[in-house]
Amino acid sequence: MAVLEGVNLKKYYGKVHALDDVSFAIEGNELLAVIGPSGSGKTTLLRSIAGFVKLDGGRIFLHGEDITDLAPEKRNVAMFFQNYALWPHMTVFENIAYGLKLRKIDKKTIKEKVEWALEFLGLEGLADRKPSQLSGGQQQRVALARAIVVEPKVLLLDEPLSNLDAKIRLRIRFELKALQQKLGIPTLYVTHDQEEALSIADRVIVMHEGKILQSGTPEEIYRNPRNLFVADFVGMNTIVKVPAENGLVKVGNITKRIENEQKTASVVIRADEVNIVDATADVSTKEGDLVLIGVIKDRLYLGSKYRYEVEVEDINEPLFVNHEVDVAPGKKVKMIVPEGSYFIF
Amino acid sequence: MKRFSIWKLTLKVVVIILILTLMVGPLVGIVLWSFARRWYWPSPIPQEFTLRFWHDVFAQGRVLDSLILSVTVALITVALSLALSLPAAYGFARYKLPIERILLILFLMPQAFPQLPVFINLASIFGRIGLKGNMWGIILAHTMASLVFSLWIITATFKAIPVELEQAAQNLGASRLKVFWTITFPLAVPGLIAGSIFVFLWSMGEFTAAFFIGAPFIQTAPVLMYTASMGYNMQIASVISIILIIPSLLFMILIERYLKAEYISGLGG
Amino acid sequence: MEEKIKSPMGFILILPALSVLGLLYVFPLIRAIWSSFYDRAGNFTLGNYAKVFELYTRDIVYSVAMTAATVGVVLVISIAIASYLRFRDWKFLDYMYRLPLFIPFLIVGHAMRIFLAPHGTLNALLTRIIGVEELPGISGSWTGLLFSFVWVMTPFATLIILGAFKALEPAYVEAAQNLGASKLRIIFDILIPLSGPSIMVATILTFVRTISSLTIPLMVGPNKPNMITIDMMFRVNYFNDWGVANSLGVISYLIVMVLAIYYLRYMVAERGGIKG
Ligand SMILES: Nc1ncnc2c1ncn2[C@@H]1O[C@H](COP(=O)(O)OP(=O)(O)O)[C@@H](O)[C@H]1O
Ligand SMILES: [Mg+2]
Repeated sequence: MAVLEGVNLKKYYGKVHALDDVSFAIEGNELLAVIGPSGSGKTTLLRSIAGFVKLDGGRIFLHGEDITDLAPEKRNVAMFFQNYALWPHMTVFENIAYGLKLRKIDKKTIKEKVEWALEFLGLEGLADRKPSQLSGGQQQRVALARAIVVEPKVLLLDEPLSNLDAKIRLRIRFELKALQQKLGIPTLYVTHDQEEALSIADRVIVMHEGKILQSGTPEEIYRNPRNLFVADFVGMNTIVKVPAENGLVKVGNITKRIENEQKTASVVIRADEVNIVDATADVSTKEGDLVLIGVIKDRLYLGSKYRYEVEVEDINEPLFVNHEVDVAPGKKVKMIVPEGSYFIF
Repeated sequence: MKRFSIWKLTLKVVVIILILTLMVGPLVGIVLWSFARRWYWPSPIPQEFTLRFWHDVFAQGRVLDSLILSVTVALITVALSLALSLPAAYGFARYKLPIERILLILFLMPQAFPQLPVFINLASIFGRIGLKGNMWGIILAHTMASLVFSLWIITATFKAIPVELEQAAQNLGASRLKVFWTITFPLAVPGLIAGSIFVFLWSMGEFTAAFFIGAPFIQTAPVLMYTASMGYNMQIASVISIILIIPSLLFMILIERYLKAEYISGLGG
Repeated sequence: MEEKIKSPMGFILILPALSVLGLLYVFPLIRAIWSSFYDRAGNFTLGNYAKVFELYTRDIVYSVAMTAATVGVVLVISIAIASYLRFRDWKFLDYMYRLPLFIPFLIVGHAMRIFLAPHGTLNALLTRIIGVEELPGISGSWTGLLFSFVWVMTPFATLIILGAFKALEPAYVEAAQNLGASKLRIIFDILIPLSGPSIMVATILTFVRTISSLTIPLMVGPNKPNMITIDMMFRVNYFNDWGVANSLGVISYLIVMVLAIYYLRYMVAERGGIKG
């Protein structure tokens, strides 16, 4: 049985479909990430699970129990708020102990548990501080401690890293993953940062305009996107439009049949996964690799690599690809894009 | 999934009746009295209704005079308040003043501190300079005490107008005064109106200053109402009360936007 | 917005308003304090204060007690209403609680005389519901005065407190809810502690408005004991005794000052400064 399951969830704000028939399930102790651009309905999904959003349709089950109409305070799903929502009038200790006190646990056990949480999150010695006396990273951990100390059935995280500096964010990302695994709490993790989600999630859901476009493991999402939006949303890409005729698209050496009767098709190429060689070089290619011939128009130095603007034969738009080898502009090159690094829709 | 519960419904009805009794009840009594010719215990409503007292109020000299006096006092008070608080509010909003906060609080003092001692002493001072028993004495006292309403509201209004709008006009060659009358003032009109209404209502309902300063020669509507109520002339007292309440209630419904605590701290008097 | 103009012009603009305040407020105020120390013949004396304590100690205690009781009841009711409206929209209650907001106190006094009298409209209703012939009226007693004070003071306090409750970051409330706190717990653990300054303002303004009210005790209060405002009025109107009246005035100022100082210290402790 799924730990947490949402079935056909619907939420409308006037004409906006914040949730449009969303179904999902968290199994075992997994970390399920929900990604999507701003306004795609991620927060609404999370808040409806916590009970702060009243759904217009659908049911939510927690360990098989229907919690759709349960008041927020009766759900035992711990939410981590984007701005932490630490109560400014309580100390760190009081903040973390609050949920335990509500559960009528005796004082000694509360103290033990809070101390465990403080230690677990590396917050020793801060128990008597007020939230305003903490750094952003410390506040974030106190908020996390407050959420996990009550041993919730599910942990809901809404953009937990978005308020941190970019550098710390990268480190905390993995700490968070390690912590989640150590605790074994099933977690729903909302973020607009696809890279963050792909790097720590067991499974990923991609949302757009209130709908789930695709769900699967990070590899599935990345290597096998089901549509243009997903392909484009994850990874670093360069996209060009090419003409399509009678359901056939021809790009370089590849001809692909597409189902729609569209006049143009989009080619999404993972910009970091293109091999650039001299146009005359004789490199072996595999069946299914996309080979394009073009001329380097411009070059941008990025530190560990270069960013090239390439004019490709038979394609009207320039391609932007990254490669560590230095090639002078004006040179004619061959670009080899392995199968699974380009997608045609 | 709404569960219909007869208990919940009953509770709600009881609560609504309780609230209505407590909040509207006291006002119903006045309305009934204003139409009562005869009303003896234990009848819940008057035995005989009449429009006589409403008619009297508008025909009879004394009551009508007091109403006219109250409106006159309130209107002149509004004019004086505006004349004083327009420049002052602009000063507070746009100029750097040394003890700005303390000065602003100072204007609140007449409303946030016991008023009676000041008003009786003002009455005694006015007695010496011929302003006691005189409409202008009341107007001066009202202007002083209600200045805070117009001043605070207009200051907030000016502060909400971006300086850039004024600077743009100045940049085009307008003088400061010209900028004020052509840009700032028109944009501040809603605040001016709200401030004026506060001052007007406060002055209309004010009793203490009007009582001590107006005595012995002139009576504003609240003072006359007091005399009538104390003399158990319930009908006249009630008619005047209703006339004084109606604008207050209308105002409360109309100006939701300006319903900020700091503005009303002194209303009611 | 930030860069204000530095120029004496600012002072000139506020000067007229300031002069009016100085002449018509500060001057009589100083005169009140001054003349509380002088007898009719113009000699310095503390006799006025001696007389006040001889005649009016009971009234002073009564005024403070009545005011404190009003503040207590008003706070309980307004926190209850504000809490309800913070969690639920109920337009009916929203309009009802504000009804007395702008009604002049004098008229409230008159309305309460009619409503609370032994043969008043409230008893006309109650006798019918309970099925008895007569009920005691509470106008002219301390309960009637308390009821009237609470009636006029509650909307204002509620407005302040509800404003604070609504301005609170919703996530504070949701975080508590999420951890399992009931509405009642949230009121006591989150809403009230985080609205401390506003509740303080509501307390103080209710206190000052009550203790300085003349008209309501004049209309509905009992004859003995009196609120000190009534004593002041009688002292002037019937005895022409300005010295004692002003001493009473100074005492009412002192009571309010104690509160004001307490408030300032609270605000300084609360957030290291006063916010207007
Ligand atoms: N309380 C609300 N009232 C009206 N519209 C809302 C409300 N909350 C969210 N929305 C709308 O619902 C959509 C989804 O919002 P949200 O769930 O916050 O997206 P995300 O978290 O993915 O950025 C947006 O279009 C947003 O404007
Ligand atoms: Mg969001």
